Amino acid sequence: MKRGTPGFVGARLKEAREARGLTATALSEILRVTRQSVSQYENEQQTPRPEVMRKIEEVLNLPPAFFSRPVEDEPGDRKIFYRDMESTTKLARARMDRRYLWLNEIADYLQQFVSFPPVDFPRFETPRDPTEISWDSIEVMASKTREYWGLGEGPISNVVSLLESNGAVVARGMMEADELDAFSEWREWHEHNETPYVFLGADKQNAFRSRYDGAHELGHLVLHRNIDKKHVDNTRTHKLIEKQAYRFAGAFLLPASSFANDFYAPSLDTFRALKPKWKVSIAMMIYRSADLGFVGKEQTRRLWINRTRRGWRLREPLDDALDIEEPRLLRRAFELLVNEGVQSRDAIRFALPYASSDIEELAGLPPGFLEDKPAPISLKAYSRKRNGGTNRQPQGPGEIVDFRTTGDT
Amino acid sequence: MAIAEDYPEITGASKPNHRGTSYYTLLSSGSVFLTANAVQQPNELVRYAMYRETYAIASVPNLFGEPPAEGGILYAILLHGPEEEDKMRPEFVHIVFPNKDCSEYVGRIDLLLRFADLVEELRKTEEEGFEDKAFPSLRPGVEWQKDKEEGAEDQTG
Repeated sequence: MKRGTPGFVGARLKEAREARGLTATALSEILRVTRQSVSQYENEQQTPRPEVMRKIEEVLNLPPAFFSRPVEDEPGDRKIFYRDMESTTKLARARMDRRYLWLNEIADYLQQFVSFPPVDFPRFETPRDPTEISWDSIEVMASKTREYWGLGEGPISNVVSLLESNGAVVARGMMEADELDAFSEWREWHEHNETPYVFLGADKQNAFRSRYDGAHELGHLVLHRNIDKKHVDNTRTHKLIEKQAYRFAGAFLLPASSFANDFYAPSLDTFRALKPKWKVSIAMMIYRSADLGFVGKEQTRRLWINRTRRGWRLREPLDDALDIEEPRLLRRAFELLVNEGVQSRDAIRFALPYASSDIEELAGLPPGFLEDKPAPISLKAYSRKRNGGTNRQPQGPGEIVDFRTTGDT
Repeated sequence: MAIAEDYPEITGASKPNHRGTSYYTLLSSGSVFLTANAVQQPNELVRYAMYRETYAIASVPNLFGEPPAEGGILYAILLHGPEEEDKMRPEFVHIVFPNKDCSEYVGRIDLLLRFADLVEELRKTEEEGFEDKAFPSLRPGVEWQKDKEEGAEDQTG
């Protein structure tokens, strides 16, 4: 009788392989088994020999427990707004689908212990058919979204923080696909209301681009909450909804009247000067100026040509002048669990059988947070404590806190 | 352009350069003409452009406060550049007056210095702030459970 791996769940191997962006053939080559063997493992026609199983765990960087977890029902007809449906490879999409489910599971796990901020997104009576959404109505909804959140017409200080503060779960991670900049979804969570999820790509490492991505996904969440899924899957209407989200992002980040006040010349130098204030790319300002009719067709064409001539197509000036806006909600939740002693790092790793690095990336935790090594001591936090003497909760492992507790004299 | 809308005595126009390859904005008020340029240093000369030289040749800088003679113009350039440490802020905003061939500046006004109070005020009101509410809170049941477990430990101890 062949030795196998008792309790092995084939669907978990497929999930792990896809999450790592590997084809069955590529995995079989790494494992030095046949393509058919991998297929049989995944279909549970046979289970891997112990030595192959160890190699699988090593190659896919996942603990043994992962491969024996029962698979819950796959979520059904989910409406996820991916940026580019056509040019994104099936493999890249599958990778992100898997990692997104891991993010969902991490958030679900955390919500057993903590409450996230309540969802407070504006809800408009938008149509089910995106062709019925006009450009003018997008401008109005972008403006009303600002109004709903009590924002004026100036530059938004932090898009990610704005989304999280209003109940969105935001994550940043490597997409490993040029065409996948970000995606979002209104996700149903058990008996709770829908929660907006936004996944931002970390590949481009450009704060201006990332702010735009956040605003673009906000556009989907606001404009396309009611549309039928068939329109997301249809190539023609998918292109339209992408354009609509693009227009929303422009209108949200650069309100017409306040941007007009700053727009003193239709030149790249003007946009360069405005970039630090509005925290949007020069390319975005060109698009927005054209949308609003500040520049004509010929002027717009010239602006694009000159932008390329100046070598700004791949990298614009000041691109490194702004720090990337990092999500903080999930990180804070993990820190709360650990610092309050609600869950140990061991318990977290046991409940979420992924690689620690996967959880750390998806939750925006510092590398090594889930390991049991002591973290470096933050002297900065200590001096702040001494000067301020607040009852603030510790912000991370290794931070020095006051010996005195509430009630001590 | 927005400045021109707010001040009727100022005219703003978007003009193509001589080759028609790009556009620049010309602000004018009577005989005073102004264009804008981003540079790295306040003393840096702007790169050559035929339109600038055309204005500079026609310009008669008179730095004693008298208006240009009949038919003459006064040409000025608004120079601006970012701070080295924090590129989100302008390091300098100067109005300079070039000589005839734009090979040097014969006069200069430092606007950040001249309007320091106004600049400080504008910097304060730049962004839309909001309360950071992205803080999770422990569910009440969880706190209770934790207390209970601690109590149980005490009892066994």
